[in-house]
Amino acid sequence: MFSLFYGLWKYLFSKTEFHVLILGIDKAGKTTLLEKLKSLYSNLEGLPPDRIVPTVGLNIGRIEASDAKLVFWDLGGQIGLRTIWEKYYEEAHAIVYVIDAACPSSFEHSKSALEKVLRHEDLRGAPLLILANKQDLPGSVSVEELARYLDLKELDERLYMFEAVSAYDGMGIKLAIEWLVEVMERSKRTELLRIRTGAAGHA
Amino acid sequence: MGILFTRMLSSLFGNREARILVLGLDNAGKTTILYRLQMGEVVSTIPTIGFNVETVQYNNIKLQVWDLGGQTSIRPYWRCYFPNTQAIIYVVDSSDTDRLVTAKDEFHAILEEEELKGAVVLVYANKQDLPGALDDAAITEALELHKIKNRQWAIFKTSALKGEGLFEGLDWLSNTLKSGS
Repeated sequence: MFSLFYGLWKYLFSKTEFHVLILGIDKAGKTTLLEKLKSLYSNLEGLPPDRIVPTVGLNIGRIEASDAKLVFWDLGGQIGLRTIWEKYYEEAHAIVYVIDAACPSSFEHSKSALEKVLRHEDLRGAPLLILANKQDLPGSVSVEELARYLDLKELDERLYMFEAVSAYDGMGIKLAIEWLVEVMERSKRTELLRIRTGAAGHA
Repeated sequence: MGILFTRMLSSLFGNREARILVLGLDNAGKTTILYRLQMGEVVSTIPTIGFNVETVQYNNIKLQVWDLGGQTSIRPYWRCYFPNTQAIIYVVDSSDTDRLVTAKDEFHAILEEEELKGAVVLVYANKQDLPGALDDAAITEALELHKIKNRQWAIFKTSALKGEGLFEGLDWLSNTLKSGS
């Protein structure tokens, strides 16, 4: 009986932990974003941008934002390492896709990598936040221009948003994360993941 | 360079006792790496319990090395070396494709240890100087590194013989320990 109430109590009051994948091609600024998130939302100082080296593995950031717990998985973007991305899809609640908006020559590459991500069955229904990063740099394109360039066809039933940010100085990040938490809380995918982990927990 | 790294690490940990375990199958190149890092004198000990632990102590940081695999009877004694471990450096012979499955199994078994739960993982895909050595992406697959979801990990191609890649990896390690998660 107690365990029944405890289960109910836990169901009602415990915060869901959301898993968010940070993806994008190499040099987009994924780890810089992660470190900025740590410094904006937790008491960790986060690494300064000049100390960040290319990721060849997994970086993790845990924060609390808008009364929710978020775990960010930042995976390396080099081509050889992208095969591991999909191993993390199944458990992800949402995707943050980072693009270097100051480097138009990389857009084509970014677009094809993103299309591949969106086609993957394991990410079905996962909300998508596309960040036009590096707004602190001169020559960075606007969100509208980037969206026009990407011209994504497969977004129809997916919750998505474009946001202009600078992982370097923090511009736009809080707004983007607010949106992310809000959509994850109401997405069908979150419900599905909850049922699945719940079922696994009681098995 | 070795001196630089040890300074970096000791400033990182302050006065805390810190431990880094350097693990892998026999012949992966662990001892060569220790010598390459030039962190101090390598002391080899063969305790009475019967397994060989090499230790390098630099101020408050202890690097300890032993072989995984083999005798199961001594495994419980490994636990003596687990408390206060901040990081595991896992060394793989990238050219020894026959034993990659064993390397993977041993790796995941050690990660299960309760006292090592908080340790970050640095993998050295070592012996890149040998013909037929698999690259970092292939070793990532073989070791099933993607199964790690609750701690940070990174993999670096190294040649302990030539001294390549070791410090890049340690750089990652010190950054990661510094920034927390």
